[in-house]
Amino acid sequence: MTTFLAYTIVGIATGCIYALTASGLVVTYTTSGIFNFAHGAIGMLCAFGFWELTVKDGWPQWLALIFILGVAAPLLGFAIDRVLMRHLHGAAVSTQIVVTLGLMVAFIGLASIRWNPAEARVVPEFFLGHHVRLFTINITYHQLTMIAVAALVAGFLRLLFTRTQIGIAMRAVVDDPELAALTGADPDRVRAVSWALGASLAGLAGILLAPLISLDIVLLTLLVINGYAAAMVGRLRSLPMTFAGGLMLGLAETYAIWKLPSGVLTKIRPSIPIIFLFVVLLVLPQAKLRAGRMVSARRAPRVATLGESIAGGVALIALAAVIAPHLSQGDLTLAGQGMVYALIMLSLVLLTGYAGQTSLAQMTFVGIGAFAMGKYFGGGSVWGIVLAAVLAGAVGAVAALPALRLQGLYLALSTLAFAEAMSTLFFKNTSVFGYGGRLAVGRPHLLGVSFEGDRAYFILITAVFSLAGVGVLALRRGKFGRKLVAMKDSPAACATLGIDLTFTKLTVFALSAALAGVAGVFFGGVRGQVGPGDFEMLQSAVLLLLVTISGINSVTGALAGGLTFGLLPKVQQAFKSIRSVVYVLPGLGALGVVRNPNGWTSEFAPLGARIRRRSSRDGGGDDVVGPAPRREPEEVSDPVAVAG
Amino acid sequence: MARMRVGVVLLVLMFATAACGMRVSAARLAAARSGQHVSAGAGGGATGGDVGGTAADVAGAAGSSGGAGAGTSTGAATGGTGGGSASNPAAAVPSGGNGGATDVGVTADSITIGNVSTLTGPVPGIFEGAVLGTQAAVAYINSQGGIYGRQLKLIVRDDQFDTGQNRAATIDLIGKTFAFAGSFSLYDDAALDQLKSSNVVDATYSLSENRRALPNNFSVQPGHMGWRLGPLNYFKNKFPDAVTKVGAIYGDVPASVSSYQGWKAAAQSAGYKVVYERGFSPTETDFTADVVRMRQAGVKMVYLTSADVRPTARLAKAMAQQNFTVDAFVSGGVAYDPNFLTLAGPAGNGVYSEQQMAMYDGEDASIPEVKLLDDWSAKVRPGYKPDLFAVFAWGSVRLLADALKAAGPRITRASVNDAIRKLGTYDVHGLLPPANPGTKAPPTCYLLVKVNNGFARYDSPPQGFRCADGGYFQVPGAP
Repeated sequence: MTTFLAYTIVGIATGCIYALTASGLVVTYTTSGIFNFAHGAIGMLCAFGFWELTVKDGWPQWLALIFILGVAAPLLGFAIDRVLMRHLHGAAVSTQIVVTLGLMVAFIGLASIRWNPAEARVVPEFFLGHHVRLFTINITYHQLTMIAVAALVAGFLRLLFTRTQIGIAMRAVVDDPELAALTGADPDRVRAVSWALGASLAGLAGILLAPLISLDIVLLTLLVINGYAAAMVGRLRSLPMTFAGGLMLGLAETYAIWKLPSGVLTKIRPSIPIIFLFVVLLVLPQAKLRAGRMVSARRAPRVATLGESIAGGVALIALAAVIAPHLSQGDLTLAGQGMVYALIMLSLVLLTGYAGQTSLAQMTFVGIGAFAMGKYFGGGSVWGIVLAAVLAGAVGAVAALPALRLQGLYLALSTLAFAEAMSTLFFKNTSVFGYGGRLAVGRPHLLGVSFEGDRAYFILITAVFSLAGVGVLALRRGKFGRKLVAMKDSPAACATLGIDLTFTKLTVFALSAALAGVAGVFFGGVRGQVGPGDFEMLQSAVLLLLVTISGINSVTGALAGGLTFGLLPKVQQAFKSIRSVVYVLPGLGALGVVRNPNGWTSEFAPLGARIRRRSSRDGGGDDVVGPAPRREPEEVSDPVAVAG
Repeated sequence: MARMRVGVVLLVLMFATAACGMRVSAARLAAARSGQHVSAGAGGGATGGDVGGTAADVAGAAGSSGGAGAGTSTGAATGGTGGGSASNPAAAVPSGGNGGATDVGVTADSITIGNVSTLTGPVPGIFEGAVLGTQAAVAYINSQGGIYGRQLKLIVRDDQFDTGQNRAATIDLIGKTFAFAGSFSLYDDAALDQLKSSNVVDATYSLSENRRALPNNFSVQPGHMGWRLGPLNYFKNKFPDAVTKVGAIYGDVPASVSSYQGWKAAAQSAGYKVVYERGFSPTETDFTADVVRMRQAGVKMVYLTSADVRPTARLAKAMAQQNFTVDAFVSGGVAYDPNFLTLAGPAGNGVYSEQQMAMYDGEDASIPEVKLLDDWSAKVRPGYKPDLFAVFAWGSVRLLADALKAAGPRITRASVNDAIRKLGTYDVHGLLPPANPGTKAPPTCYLLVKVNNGFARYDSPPQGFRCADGGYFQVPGAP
């Protein structure tokens, strides 16, 4: 019994870490309607700020705490709201996700510039040296403080949201700002207060966690991911349930260490938070899983014709053939990787841009494709490409099963959980990538032609992208493509019209995953080898971020996003003295999504329209494209026809 | 011991980009740090990474100071050429000339060597020490007059933590340089075929088992899947009861797992019994439950073979908080890292580091080579103290230079490769324990460092290396 109680105490202490991080997440979501992926990053910044003031500048802890939580963090939250979040109200969930992801990436980059990640820093615990003994376990005052703070925060916020005018106003503004305004609330002010409160809670968690895990930019930022499961227990609404979820998670992890045999423990223990999240998502009643918003298209899309897309594809291949001989070895590799990223992003255009299904697992399918080719065909066979498509497509269909009943944010989180589970249980399995975790992936020989050389391979990837682009556009123009757009606009209306949403969702997930799988073949080929770290969930998030910045509803956007991604290292080369500039820039790029959710390539749509109009005077085409819309991602014509 | 240092990394790598991913790579580094073989792998994606432009032609030379940072620096050359000195008779141009441009990257007055390291990316500067160590050694050798009238020139490329960029940079430099020396990258096996077919002289301490297996790769500290038996036997003799009740914690990523498996097989062959073992993920924050379970299992010795500075410090603090004391807490090479001392604080006291290099941060300054390393590192970058990667990079350049001298003035890649194979045991003039780069025989000598009152100090022997405790256990059938 004493042993049980000892593990229970440890589990509660661990669980409170999750509860504390998840509580801030829930508060932000409850009061803004936005799931803030940058929540951990805000906490990280506050923790570093606290270190700067207390350790470096010698401020008393209490004074620094008041300053960070009472002044700096609220100001940061206020600024985030002013600059970004208030413009996201009513935006598509994928847009909200991308903007907060961009913020997270930017904060990581900025922190790396300010604080060298390789340098060890220590934030002293509160009440250092004091502890109590409970059931053979020594619990420090700092841990007790965390437990107390987590419980108090849950209780305090519940009272705030249910018993105070400002708290009720916060919730009302999320549900219907116009209606709330009619009752006398000022939605803008209420939102600003909400973000200030959320930032303070993030800072509180960061400052309390830093002494336990050390000041680590990435770890502090990403720790909150483990708290997602706890937040989901509270359905992103209930703080007491979130607190309970955190405790359950902490206890589950601790009891696993207590009871499981070593071999099993190592395999299962890291997956517990994700398994927990997955189960919670599947168990919660569907009717209560309505986090996403319906997004309606404002105009019928204009999609490039078959002739235009083929012409664009041929032009792209020709361009690649012309410039390839002039690129250095390094630039060829960059360009090749850029085209592979474009191919992966094309799969996101199909899934997210056309069908409105958000995926944070795309790199998982890329990994499946690379695995299929590298493991069974080494790289040289066209059958490897076929197997990659089939295998990735099948896995995609399995991953889509939760999508049949989830949508919006919940769907995105389920794909996140799937990606994490695949990473832990599959990619890191030594039998998958072999000894040391690396798998060689060769380059295919097609029709008797070797593409071993970097120039030939770059042109081949370009050709594959062009072919895939033409195919995606053809699909978009067809009946299935219209179903996708209809499903994105209004699933309810689709169901009413008798469209089989289940089949449509499964099919588009499988197609998108298959395309990503094919991209995986070339991803492996251009790099020569792959490893588990290439297919982390966060890589998928970064790809989603980049393609959204450039334009997630067009093939042109995928091409631009892929090449931008591929060329980012050039930027780092140009700014060698600025650490992590490659993270800051994409992060800041996400700010542009707020202004134009269709991505920066859509800014050229009027130009494309003018060109077509001019040519139509000679040839008789039509298709006039209006100015780029400001708000939701919707189908707009591509500036470059290829493309798409 | 090898591959140590580097803290951080964790997830970052994720962005990989993005490079990023961080997880795997982090632990790969940890495994590296432990001093075991680390096979290729993992790591997060990359940010892509350009290669081309990072290059910096560096002609290190005598009295150079300057040197800028990370990989692009140049040692301001001043040093003399030719001449030679009494201490370096191989410096002068021989009477019959040196043959001029005898092979790729060789001219009458220079030998160009390449270095491809990770300098930017998700964890900026993680292998900056490798470049600084290489620059320092190049500058020192040039200060001694060079080799047969030729100065060493260095080209540094940054792979930005990206497989593709490492491959491109390596292939590019194969066509421009005579040899590689001092490179450090988690993706250093990205161009294996080209490295092998070119027969380029590859004096690189590789983190990849595949590259280490190349016939033209020569490491100053070769390694295979397995572990040195010396420290295992030492602890067995000192704590005969404790080795039958061992708790082992390791990073749960492929490279670290492989490293751990090598250690475990060696430990079991030496009579150790592991009663508790667990792989941890990078996002774990608390090891208290492990401490409780180890206490229940009667653990008397804790061995961390593939854990980085931060988790090692967290475990040490958790053990201290729970008053869980063991006969020996052994940390691979982590305990000699200044970051560990900072992070663990008083909880770090008593932690052992079993390592295979002299105490290069000044404690062993009585060893001339350590003093040279420290002095020339400071010349390349004033105030800089070498890290683990600088040590291996310095050693790699020294190995190459000694082989260049042995090969004579009319060098070719083949002749220098042969020269290294004929060098026999090599210890970088006392900086490292003896190993055989030519036959890839790993070192078996080691020293034990123990943290005492916040400082890492010699535990055994009082100075130098212990060499008589055992050989090297290689896992049967493993590469």
